[in-house]
Amino acid sequence: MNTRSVVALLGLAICFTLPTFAQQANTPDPQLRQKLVDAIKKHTDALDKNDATAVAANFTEDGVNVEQGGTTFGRPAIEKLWADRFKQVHFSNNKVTVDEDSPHMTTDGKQMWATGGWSATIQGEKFGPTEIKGYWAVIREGDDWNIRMLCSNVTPPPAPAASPTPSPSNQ
Amino acid sequence: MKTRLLGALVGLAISFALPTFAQQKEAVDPQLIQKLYDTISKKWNEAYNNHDAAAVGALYTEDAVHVTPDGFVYGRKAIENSLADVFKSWQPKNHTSTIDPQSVRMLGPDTNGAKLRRI
Repeated sequence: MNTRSVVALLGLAICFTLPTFAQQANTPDPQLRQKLVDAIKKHTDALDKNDATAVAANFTEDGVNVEQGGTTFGRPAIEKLWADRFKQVHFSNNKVTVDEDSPHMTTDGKQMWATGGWSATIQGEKFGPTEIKGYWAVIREGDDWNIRMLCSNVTPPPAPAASPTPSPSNQ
Repeated sequence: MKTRLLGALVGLAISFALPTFAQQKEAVDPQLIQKLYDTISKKWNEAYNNHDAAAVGALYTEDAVHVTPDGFVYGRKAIENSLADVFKSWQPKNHTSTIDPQSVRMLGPDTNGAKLRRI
C-alpha cells in the first residue's frame, strides 16, 4: 500500500462519523438487547441469502450505510449497493457479535446505538473463499429498530512477513 | 509504512466521534453545521496536522469509544495514548476532513450546545 492509498483511505475513513459515546459501565436492558440481537439476525440472514432487498429492508427509508469505500444514502441506494456487490461476491457464514455494554439508548429513548464485531466468508469468481472481519457501530430507531446509520470497517489482513535477506540461493 | 500501521491509522481516523448522521430529506440548521465545523472539524484537522494526540483526545468525551479496524479503544486517555504512538511514526500534513452539510443531525432531544459539549 503506498502513501497515496493511505491518504485516500484516511480521507474516506474520516467520513465515518460515529455517535459513539461509550459507557463501559452501561448495563443494557435485556429485552432491548434481545431486540437488537433479533434485528441483527434478520440482517445476517439476509446477507447469508445474498438478498440485497432483504438487506436494505433492515434500514430505515432514509438510512445511511458508511463504509471505507464511501457513504450510501437511502434504502434504494443501499439495496443497489448490495445487489451490485452480490453480483461479484458471494457472502456466507455471516456472524455478528454485540459488545456486552450495548445497546445504549439516547436520552429520549427513540434511538439506540451499539457497537460490535462481524465476520463473513466471501467467495469471488477469482478469489476465496476467505474470511473477512471488522467492527461496526450502529444507530437504530423506529418500532422495528431498523438501521438509521451503520458504520462498518474491515480489519486489514496481517502484514506480510519481512522479506528474507537475499542469499545466493534466492537471488 | 507497514500495512499494519496503516490499518491502525485508518482506524484512528474512522472514529471521528461526531453525533452526525445523514438524513438527506431534511433541512439542516446551518448554525449547527457551522458550529460543528468550528468546534470539531477545524480543531480535528489542526490537531492532526500538529501531531498533537492530546488535542485530538480532547475532542472525545471522557467515555468515548473509538472504533478501529483492529477493535475498540475505550476512553479519552486510551485514545490519546493510542494516537500518540501513531504520531511517533506518522506525521501527517494537510490532513483534511469534510462535513457533509446534509448529514448533520442531533441524537435525542438535547440542545445543540449541550450535545456539542459532550464531544
